[in-house]
Amino acid sequence: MLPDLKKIISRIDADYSDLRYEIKNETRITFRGEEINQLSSNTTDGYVLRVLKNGGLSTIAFTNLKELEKAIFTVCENAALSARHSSSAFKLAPVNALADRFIPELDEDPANVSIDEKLDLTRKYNSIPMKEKNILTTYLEYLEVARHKFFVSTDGLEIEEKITINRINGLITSSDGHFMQNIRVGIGGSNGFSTLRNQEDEFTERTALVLQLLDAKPVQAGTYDVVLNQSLAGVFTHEAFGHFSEADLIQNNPSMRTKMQTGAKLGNDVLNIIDDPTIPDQLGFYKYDDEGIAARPTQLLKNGVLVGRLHSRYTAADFNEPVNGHCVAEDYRFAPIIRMGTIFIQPGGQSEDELLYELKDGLYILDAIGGQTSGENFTFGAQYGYIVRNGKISDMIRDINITGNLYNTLQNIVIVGNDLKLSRIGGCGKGQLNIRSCHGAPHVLVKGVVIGGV
Amino acid sequence: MEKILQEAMKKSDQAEVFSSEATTNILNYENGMLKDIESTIEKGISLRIIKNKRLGFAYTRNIHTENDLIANALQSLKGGIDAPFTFPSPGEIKNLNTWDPECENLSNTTIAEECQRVNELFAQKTAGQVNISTGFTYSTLRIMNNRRTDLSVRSSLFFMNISLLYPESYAGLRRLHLSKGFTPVPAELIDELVTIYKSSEKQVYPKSGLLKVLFLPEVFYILGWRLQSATNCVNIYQRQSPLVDKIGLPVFNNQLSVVNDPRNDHRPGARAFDDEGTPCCYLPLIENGVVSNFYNDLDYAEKLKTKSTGTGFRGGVLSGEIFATKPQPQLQHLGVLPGKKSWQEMLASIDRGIIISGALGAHSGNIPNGDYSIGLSPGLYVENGEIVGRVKDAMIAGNIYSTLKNIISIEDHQSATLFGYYPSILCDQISFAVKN
Repeated sequence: MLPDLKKIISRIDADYSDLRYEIKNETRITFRGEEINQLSSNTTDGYVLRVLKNGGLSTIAFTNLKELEKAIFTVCENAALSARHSSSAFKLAPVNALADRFIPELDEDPANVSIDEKLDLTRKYNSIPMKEKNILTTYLEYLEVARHKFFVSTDGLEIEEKITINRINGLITSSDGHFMQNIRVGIGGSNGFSTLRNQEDEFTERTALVLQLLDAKPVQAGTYDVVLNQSLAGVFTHEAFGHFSEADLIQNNPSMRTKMQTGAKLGNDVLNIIDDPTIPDQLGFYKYDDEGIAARPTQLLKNGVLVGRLHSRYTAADFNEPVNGHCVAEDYRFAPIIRMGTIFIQPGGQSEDELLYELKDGLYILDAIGGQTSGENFTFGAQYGYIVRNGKISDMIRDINITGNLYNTLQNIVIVGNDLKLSRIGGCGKGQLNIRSCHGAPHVLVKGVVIGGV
Repeated sequence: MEKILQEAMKKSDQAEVFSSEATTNILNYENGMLKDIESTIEKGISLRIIKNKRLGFAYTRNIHTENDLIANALQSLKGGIDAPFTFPSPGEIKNLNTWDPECENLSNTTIAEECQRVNELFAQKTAGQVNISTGFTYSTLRIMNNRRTDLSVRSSLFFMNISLLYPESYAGLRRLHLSKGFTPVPAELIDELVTIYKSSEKQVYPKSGLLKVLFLPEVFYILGWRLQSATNCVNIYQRQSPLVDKIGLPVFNNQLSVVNDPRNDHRPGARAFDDEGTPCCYLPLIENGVVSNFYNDLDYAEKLKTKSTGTGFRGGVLSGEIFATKPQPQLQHLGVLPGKKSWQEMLASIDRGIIISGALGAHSGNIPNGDYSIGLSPGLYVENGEIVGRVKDAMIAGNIYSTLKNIISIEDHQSATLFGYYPSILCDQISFAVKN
């Protein structure tokens, strides 16, 4: 495949071009309550061609080689338009030529597991909540996505890589006849099917929690000191801070770019944040990004000081900073954009109990249900929580949503725990969906957080 | 498609082939500068078969693997997925005008020049940062089944999504300009944005409490999302909706009427039939506050022993390629009918309140229950009928079953948004929390 792709880009009249061909295998098994809603296993493929010409950059995605000539014509025409309408010429950071083939060894490749076994396992986990009296329904999905990628560029990159994830995740809904509560549940990862086995406890625990939520009280809106568990602190790291360490999000926003200069003291001294897609066996693991650049661990915040950011070749050239392999596409339909791989707050020294003791009075809130950011402001939801009185957990609370200002919150994280945990389910929707997006943190104590309540 | 259908019928009781082709060009501008141009040429095909009342589903982008497509659909039967329904025979399909013939000749250069004009107009009026995402798409869908249904539609769409951002933020004011073919952005749209922006540049610090809230059209989706969940027949079937037994009952304020109107071809994206070949219809969900209909697809219509409402659609936000998803009940042409007050009259009627122009976190919270709790991005603070500034670090929270009972007034005009056509809606007694 790689020689055929090289032949194609060699005849494009441009200063630089790259071409990615991908084969994607996707298997889905979906339950809605007791009923199976979908079972399918399919293969699709496609091409993404990117051209830099006379300072203009453009991308086209196309389905098959019958469209190649039209695609080349369109992308070159668009690159010329880009050159005419851009205030400065696009440049890509230089890289050294490299050829590599990376097919990671999985602990049970899901491609070798029968669809019947996948169905049985999903059914088994689905039956755990469904057998309970006050469980109204479930939505549970087995998803397996394997991207087999072939990438070539005119500056000598030739990369073949296959990355696979599988997961079982969804929603469990409880009802007491009048009132509903739901809770997310999920297991998964990028290191093979074995990660999905023997996970009954996860489904049992989540079922118990969603039943308890029927008796929880809504949180009172206000400003609180809080301890966030690993999942919530991880979502904060991803949403509030991580996105603004993605260079493309601040590149053309002068006020954000000024604020996010390297060397700026943004956070409390206790705070260290890194993005490292090279940690093996984690959801966010990969070796090369979709520009063919080797992924590198990138320290972003060190003792509260901004020391790095995530780059594509284009932004690395613009910021005059090193590339670090963080430019990733959802699949063959998209140009790559800057994404986090595995971002996390690095652990400190104190235990969860010590954090609750230091909190004294406030809230202990757990498990993220999505988040969103808009520059300095962020909002994310929590699955459940507890009121903490004098360092002791008491009443369970629900309907918790948090909002805050990035810079204030980075300063207000006053203690970082020692119990780092990384997420097993991803799903970042920055224009494209990144199901491999991985984040994590230890427990953290944050002062003065705005909670919306209901 | 004919051959696939023919071959599939040799191995099943019913079959349906769906194909889609689309060409899309998107230009993104940030702070007046062209950031990127992306094009896509994509096509794909999917197959649904029913055998012994069990459903099989498969898809591919590469139509040369038709044998694999049929084999995958047959393998999919292993799921034992109940399919009590029958694919539709040809129905009466309204002829709609969904295509602007000029779209195939529309060049990216024309769009880039329009962006330059829009950017220059903004620059004359404000120093605020303007981001634009614009482009056009033209597409063809075709559906064939074993009952001789053979329908196709060609659609064209030009869009320009304009954001006027506040400093140090991506919070901003947004407007969407939509049409079937290329049309210049009206000057009024730019003037409206600039006027509101200028009145809200100053940061203000109101107190928490219960306030009047004006939901602009761009954020109605927060409430609409929960309403769609409650009226979706999947949730009705699973009894996962507070509206299960509420047809005919006045659940909401009598000013509120919510309709799905796919056949309105004054707007781009109109459809005479859904992605299962069922004729579309004008479907009121809420009429003057009364719950009037739920929406379904063939599958859930049969499960609930009713007729399909012609709302079985594929695709959806971040859900993948259109052909790679099974039809499910979806409202892709939703709107709230206009009320009686002008926007200025609504603004003047607010003694103390918040205008919400953008929201963070609409996807979190207990959606089936109707709860919402969102960060304001931005929230504009109003006192004595005038916008006095912008609020940061603030949230509103509530439940649609009380919020949409407490409607004070509805704007007399609908605006296009990414999720439908809505007027502004002013509601009372909404919980507002802000950092003290």
